Amino acid sequence: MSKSLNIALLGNPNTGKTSLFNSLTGLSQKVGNYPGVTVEKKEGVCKLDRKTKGYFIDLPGTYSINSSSIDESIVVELLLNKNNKEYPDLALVIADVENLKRNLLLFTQVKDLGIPTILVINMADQMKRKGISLDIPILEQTLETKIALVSTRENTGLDELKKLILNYRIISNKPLVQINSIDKKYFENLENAFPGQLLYKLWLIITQDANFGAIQRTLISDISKFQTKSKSEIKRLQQKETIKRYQFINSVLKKGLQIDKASATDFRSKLDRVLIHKFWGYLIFFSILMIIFQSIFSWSEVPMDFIDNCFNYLSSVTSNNLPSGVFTDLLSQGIIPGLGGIVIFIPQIAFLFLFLSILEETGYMSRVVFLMDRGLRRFGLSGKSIIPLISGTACAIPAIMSTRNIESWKERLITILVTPFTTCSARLPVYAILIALVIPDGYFLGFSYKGLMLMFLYLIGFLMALGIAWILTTTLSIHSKSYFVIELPNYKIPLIKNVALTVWEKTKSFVEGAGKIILAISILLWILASYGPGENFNQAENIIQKKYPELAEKEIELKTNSFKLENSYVGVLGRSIEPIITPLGYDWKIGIAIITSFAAREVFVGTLATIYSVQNDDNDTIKNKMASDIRKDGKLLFNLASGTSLMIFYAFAMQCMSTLAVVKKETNSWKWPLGQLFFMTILAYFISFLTYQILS
Amino acid sequence: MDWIQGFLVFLSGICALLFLFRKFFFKSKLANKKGCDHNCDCH
Repeated sequence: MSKSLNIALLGNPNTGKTSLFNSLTGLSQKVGNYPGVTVEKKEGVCKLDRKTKGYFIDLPGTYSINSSSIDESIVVELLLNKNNKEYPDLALVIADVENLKRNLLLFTQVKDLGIPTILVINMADQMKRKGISLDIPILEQTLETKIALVSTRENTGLDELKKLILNYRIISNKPLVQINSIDKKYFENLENAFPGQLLYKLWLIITQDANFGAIQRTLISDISKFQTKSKSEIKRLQQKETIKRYQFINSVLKKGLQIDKASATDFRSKLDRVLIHKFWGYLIFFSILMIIFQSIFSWSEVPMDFIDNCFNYLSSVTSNNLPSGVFTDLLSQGIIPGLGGIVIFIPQIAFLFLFLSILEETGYMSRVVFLMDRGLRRFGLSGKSIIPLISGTACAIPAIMSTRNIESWKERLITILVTPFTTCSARLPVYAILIALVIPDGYFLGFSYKGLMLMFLYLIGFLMALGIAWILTTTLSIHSKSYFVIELPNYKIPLIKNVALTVWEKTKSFVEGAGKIILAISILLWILASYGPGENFNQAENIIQKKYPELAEKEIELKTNSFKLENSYVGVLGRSIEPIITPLGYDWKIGIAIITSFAAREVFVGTLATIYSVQNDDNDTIKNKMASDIRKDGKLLFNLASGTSLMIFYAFAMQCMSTLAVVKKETNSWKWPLGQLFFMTILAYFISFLTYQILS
Repeated sequence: MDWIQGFLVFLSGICALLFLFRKFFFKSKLANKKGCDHNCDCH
């Protein structure tokens, strides 16, 4: 009597799943639909031996069974519902040999459902060319399965696969990842509420909208013994589950996968050999960085000047056409210059993200991560720390959150503590305005001083992060347990649509995020700068006229404005902190900008724009007003020494309230963010002091 | 006219203060109570 087996074919998209299906079934598939949905699946029959027929079900490609799309939920529904007549006797998970890590996530999930699962590694014909070698016995042992190496392109390995399918009963159906380890108490309650059920199945039902035989998802929340969690808590547990699975996969691949780039012969490998070369790799990377920083300055100049002039014009139009009064002054001297102070940096931010997204889209960024991984180990950090450190160039907040996949707590903590040293995009406006003010025009070996200075600031931030990491590693005596496996994606020509979308999204979030805070701070600053306590503020004009009777009217007006500002509320506050910041070369106006920029670093520029507009309401640009500001000793306020000292201060100081809040959340303690704030501020102060004293 | 302009400045100041206060003090506490994640887009 002949018997039949239901065999589900699963896999990530583009792993050759359908090719395998066609090879096995001889293209005899029919197309059917699951009830209620329009996603197609294919079915086909293959004679496995004289007595056994295999009914193959080619399911839609999916990256995991945490369903987020209809395709994925179709897969989950079939795998969870034993009452379904097509419920598989066994599953074949097809993996692409070049992307095993990503593919194995789905494998571990399917296997943990208690279904005998065979791992089919496709594209075996590419292994030699790519320098890949697999230790199949080790992989079979650690993954508790049988593995078939096939090539659907060359039709090899299929007979071996059929033999494995026929002997599927010898495959263990024990789970690979103990799901209860992500929250012991929660899963204990779940097990007690539904005794005898497979824990991972219950978990999937809770997390997904799948119909499963007798157990309905809605019933779970009604059971009095079992208290389910909120959506966000479940989401967090799902993240923990994914991290656990990748930790397991990493440990498996470390033992069973070897990639010898030196023996690979394809074009990609040849290019990789240069781009991740110990010497040429770094040289190429730094050359690319240099070109980016040069371009940021030279290409942005024209649009920045245009924006500056537009806001200047808008201020004067507002001032001349609206009825005179305090609100008109607030608009023309407070809000418009304040907002202009941030909008002006849109070209530079856009160019930065344009370059970064092109590098990411081409696949080069993964090579940079790989390249940096080697260097990082010398400083006691694992390769996993490089992702937060590199993504910190956009913003420290998501970067700190991305440390969640570092399993060693101490290593994760060190990464959290040093990530704010990486130069984030909020520092760029501060650097840009100061470089434009104090770094002279000129070239060194064809590179402008301004571009070189910007590169230097990015590098010292990164080097400081590494230095502090090394000190912390030594002090905290870390025994690192993390290891790093990275997939190097294929090179591709960047899609203009993707690049444009990234630039648009990043620039928009920069303007929106900082814009609201800057608008609010500009209003408050203008009020604090336009009103003041005591006689000095109210009688400013009389005092100046008495003091300088020989000056012309225009000069009297300028001096009066400066005197009023100095005696306004913001002036009084600024002058009270002046003794602390004078040794660094700053005056009270910079002091105020440092205080307000604690909300967000880019507020620094908006603050100075508002203060300078109140002080001097003629039609000059903010940059020119700052460039011509004179200190009491007759020197320019923004000179090489004070400007460099200020840039160094911003490179090292923890001037970001949101980052502190995230560090608190991630470390679950105020001890670390406060320690970080204290240490970074002291360090920034000390190095800025030295810089100013040496350069002045 | 002066009092209208003065009133608008006063109103702008109050709004700015409330915005910053909410942004840096209240919002994170509310978010924590809801137990939401960082990537929930409410921060």
